[in-house]
Amino acid sequence: MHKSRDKRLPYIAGIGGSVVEFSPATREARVRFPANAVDLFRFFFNLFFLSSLFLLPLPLPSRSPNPPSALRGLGRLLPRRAPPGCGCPGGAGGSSGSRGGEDKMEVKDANAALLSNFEVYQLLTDLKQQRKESGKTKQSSGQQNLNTIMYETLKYISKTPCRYQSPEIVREFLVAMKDHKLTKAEKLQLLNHRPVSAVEIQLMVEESEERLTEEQIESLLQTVTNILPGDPEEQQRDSAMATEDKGDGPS
Amino acid sequence: MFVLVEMTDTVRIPPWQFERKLNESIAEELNKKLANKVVYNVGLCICLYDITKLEDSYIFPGDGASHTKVHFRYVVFHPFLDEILIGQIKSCSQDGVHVSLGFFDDIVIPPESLQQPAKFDEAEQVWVWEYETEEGAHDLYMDIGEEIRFRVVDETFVDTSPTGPSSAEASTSNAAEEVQKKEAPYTLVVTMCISSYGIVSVVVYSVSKIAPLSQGTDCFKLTMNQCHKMKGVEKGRN
Repeated sequence: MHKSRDKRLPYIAGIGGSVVEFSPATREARVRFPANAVDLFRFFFNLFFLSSLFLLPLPLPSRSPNPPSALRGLGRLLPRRAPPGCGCPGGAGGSSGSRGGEDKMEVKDANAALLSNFEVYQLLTDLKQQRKESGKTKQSSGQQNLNTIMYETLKYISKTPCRYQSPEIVREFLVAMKDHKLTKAEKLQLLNHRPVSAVEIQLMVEESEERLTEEQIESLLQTVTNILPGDPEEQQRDSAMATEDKGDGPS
Repeated sequence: MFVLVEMTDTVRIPPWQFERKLNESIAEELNKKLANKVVYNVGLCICLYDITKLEDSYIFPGDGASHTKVHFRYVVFHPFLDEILIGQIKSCSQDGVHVSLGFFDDIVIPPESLQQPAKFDEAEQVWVWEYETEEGAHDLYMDIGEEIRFRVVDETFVDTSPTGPSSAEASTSNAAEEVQKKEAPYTLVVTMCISSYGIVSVVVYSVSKIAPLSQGTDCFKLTMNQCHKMKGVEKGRN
């Protein structure tokens, strides 16, 4: 667009609203914005500069300093942890509520296996040996219960026939008992008591009159007395009496 | 007589025991907690059998001790129904004969289960059983210390956990009665068995150990219902 505005600038070329004035004499070029350029400039200036000032304080989506309300309530209501050194309940009670259920003692299986007196005897004697070997470094106050129960149980079991038994004897006994068709509980009782008379067998075996004939009871008795070792003194006495009887018999 | 019970528990090991092997510390803690104590509906705990599984140990804020969840097996005294046991007569009273096993005392033979011609001798404080055979009447004196064979008939567990404040008010007024309220957590009621030896050995078990039981122990009462009639199996049989 050719505009002649100034005498000194005869040729004026404008590009997109702006005016370029060209002076042929001085070869000086000058770009002249249109008359309302200042307003435009001011507008853009306001737009960019001043608006940036407005944008900054806009509230950004920031994380609130407190957790969501549900948890917040819990956090405040949970009891304060008990001071350490309080003992087991204190330590356990101080743990977070979510773990509370796991801290209680649970019985998974109240009847996992039956133990014969012999097994308990072995366990207790091994434990006693271990405790003796480790010396008296343990505090006796906490161990008193264990000591009491171990002593008493060992005393009781030592009076039963199981102290003469061994794992091989027990295995042999159980193999031999397979033919007699007895329940687990009955076999256990025979193992623990070592009956020597038919009366005792009738006590231990349920409905023995119906299930076992006299010969069966007799054979059962024989198996028990042969495999399971009894009190050596009693056996000597019995054999002595037997020889005496034999001596009296023929006469 | 003894059963194996599988249990799980969380064991707390204080920091001054960290130098010991974990297994040993845990075994000791478990024995300290359970040995010689009655667990409700389970029985009298004897000692630890073995540790089946150890889970990870945790240390929680505020407590320097480590907490480990342990799966273990414990040897527990818990006779099954109709089991035959041998014990010693501890004492006799109007409510029956009390038998002891040494480690377990709360076994009682109620008078109904003694053979019928039984009477309580007040002078000697013993039960006497007049046992009749072809040869005549025998007086069976159930003396203290005699060995007796008995059959377990019933068991009773009582929860002896401490009760709340409401009962405390009542107990302050009856201070004298409070002492008597101690109940055995585990009681066995048993019946007599007669063997065919010369003297009828009556087995009476009374379990009366109450002392070491802590909260949560229950009385296991075995009731003896039947008196085993051994008349047919007297000397003549064999």
